[in-house]
Amino acid sequence: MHPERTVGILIVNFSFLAAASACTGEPKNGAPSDPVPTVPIERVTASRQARVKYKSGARYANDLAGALDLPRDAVCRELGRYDCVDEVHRIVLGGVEPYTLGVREPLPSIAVTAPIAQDRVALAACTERIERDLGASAPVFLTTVDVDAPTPGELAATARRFYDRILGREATPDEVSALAQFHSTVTDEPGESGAIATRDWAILSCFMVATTLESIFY
Amino acid sequence: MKNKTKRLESPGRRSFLARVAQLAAAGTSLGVGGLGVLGLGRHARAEDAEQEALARSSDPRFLIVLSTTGGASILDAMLAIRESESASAATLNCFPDSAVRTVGPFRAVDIDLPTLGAIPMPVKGRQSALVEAHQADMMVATWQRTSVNHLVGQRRAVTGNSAWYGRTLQEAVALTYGAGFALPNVHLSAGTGYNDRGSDAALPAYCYGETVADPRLWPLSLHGSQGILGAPSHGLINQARTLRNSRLDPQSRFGRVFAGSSRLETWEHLRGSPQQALEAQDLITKLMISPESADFPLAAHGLGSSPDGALVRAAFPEFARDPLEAQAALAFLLLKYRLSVTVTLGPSSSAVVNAEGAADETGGVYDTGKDGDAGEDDDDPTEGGAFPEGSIPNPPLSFDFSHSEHRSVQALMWSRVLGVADRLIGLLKSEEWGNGQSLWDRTMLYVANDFGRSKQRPMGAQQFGTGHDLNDGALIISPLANGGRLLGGIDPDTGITYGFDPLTGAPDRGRQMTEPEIYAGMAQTLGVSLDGVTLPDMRAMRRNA
Repeated sequence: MHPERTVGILIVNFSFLAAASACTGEPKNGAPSDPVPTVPIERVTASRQARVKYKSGARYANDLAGALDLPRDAVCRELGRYDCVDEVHRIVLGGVEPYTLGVREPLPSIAVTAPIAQDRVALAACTERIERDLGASAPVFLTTVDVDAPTPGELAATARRFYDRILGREATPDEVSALAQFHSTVTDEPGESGAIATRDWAILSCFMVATTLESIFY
Repeated sequence: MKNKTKRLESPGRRSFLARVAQLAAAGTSLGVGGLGVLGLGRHARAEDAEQEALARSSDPRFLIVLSTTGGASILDAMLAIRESESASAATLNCFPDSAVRTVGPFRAVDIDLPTLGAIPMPVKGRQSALVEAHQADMMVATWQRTSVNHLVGQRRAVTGNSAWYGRTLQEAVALTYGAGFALPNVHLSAGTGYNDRGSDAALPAYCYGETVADPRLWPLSLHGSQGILGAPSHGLINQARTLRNSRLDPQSRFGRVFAGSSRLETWEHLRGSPQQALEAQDLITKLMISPESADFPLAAHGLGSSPDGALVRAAFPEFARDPLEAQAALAFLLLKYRLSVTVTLGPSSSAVVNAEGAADETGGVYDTGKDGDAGEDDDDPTEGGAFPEGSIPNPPLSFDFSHSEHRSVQALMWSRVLGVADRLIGLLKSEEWGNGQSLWDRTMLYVANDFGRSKQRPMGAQQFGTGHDLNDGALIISPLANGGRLLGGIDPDTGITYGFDPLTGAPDRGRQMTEPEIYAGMAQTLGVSLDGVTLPDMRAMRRNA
């Protein structure tokens, strides 16, 4: 059975269990509650044996290429020359290279630099996608948005597209709200307005979704 | 090069403490895994252990593990035997008298050989200058190993065959001194037993090795956005990260269902303060050993070479072609910038072919055909030509190519490893630690070996293959070690080493040193407290015992 499909089935089961459970899914570790969600958080039951697997760099890049409709070799190239996943960050992102390096198994634990490498892959891919969207007649994400002056509704619709394409599910109202509101965070920065702000917002929204735990683990 | 070497007196403690405090405030490495208390004494409060660990970070010792991957023969280096000294010279791996020099208690082999086994490349083994330069800090301690399997032998070379809960020597040093360092234990080589994680899973996460697959490209994994053309500002990226970390993930169904996953917790932790601390130090620049070039268009991507790039490239000019030189260059920078307390490097089992160097020396590409045709020298190896010396700096299988031809491979590889050690030591001596001390004054370079090699050769053979052997000797170079000493000895008739008294160092022909003993000796020399395990006092291995 495909691992991601397994997770999907588990989530359905947990949703079913949630109906009969009083457990709530509170944000852990005292995460900041601001900004306040606009709708109540759906109740879920936490897994008692929370086993997740790290999506190796190769799988992650393939998934990202599909989600962003990019050729695989356009996802991320360090210095414009070296493939991020196949070459530069291969071992750090859970890959192996038995022939030259003698690394026959993935690293036994997550490398300290892995989240940084993961950010680079996602950020490069999202930047490439949004740049292409801005110049394309048939964009993938910026389909209906007025890039010079996006409305809240347009931002929300775009946010839904990120979740739909990258995570393969509908965004929750809170997720849509969080991303849409982030546009004003961007425009608060000096030099960020109009099309520039929309571009950067779109890149960062894509980046946020593409680097969620849900996107990196299964 | 200015030599700032001075014996240990007092470190630049105040400035370093301030830096450690700064690092701790930034959560640099304390945040990586948190500090466990195992091996740090039995503290009632974890904070006590944290304070102790940070205090030790202010007065660290450094460990460089330089491996002789494949299996080096100490009989081809510091314990070489002259033919005139052995009653079984014809069948023992010993050398013509003229090839062996005596340097203090050590031997050094300088020898010219016509080929590298079946590879038509002349080899010049040159050890004497290197041994002379470092003999005061060199110590050879004989030992008897416990495995002739490469991966097992490599692992036991750094764990002392599980001498201390299975902790590797690198992990032990990181545990002792690494709390205030961003990346305490870095492995610049990969895929060998020297790079294995030890079997003690209870250590703080920062003690375990961080793998660097390619030292030239690895700095790019030390900043999340720098060098990515068109990316939004780093400030905005950090705000996006905060939103993701504090709202999107914690409130997602996935994040809540799997909230108990230790793997997710580790990831969430690493992308917090440790990530920020690494990015804040601009390591993507400081550790970039490559200069601006067509292969590394740094400026076009808003990046630059390390301020110390020219220094390390001068010491290791083959860094772009030879992975070992690139490893050594980055090893120095990791120590210089106080990012690591231990680094592991070594030649890999893959051949390194310096085709460009060979082409330069022959005046271009290889010419096919016989000598004299077209008026040019024939250098096609398939037609009896030869590769220029140095065109294969690392044979396939590294030291283990000795199965095919022992003497020339050992000569080539010993010169290679000692040469890298010499240049690395030179850089460390030139780097001031504080109060007139150099970084080298606080460093141990351990030449870690898989195992020894068989001692015999066919009657009178100058070219012969060898197998693996348990009998071995460990080379340690350090101002902290009992330098200028051969601990133990070697029987010139059998080539078998014998041990020594752990306290006095007196040779003992009736004894062979064990892996736990040598592990203990190195750990004690580095000031590692071997809590919770009974190991002998190896006073003979320490300079200031």
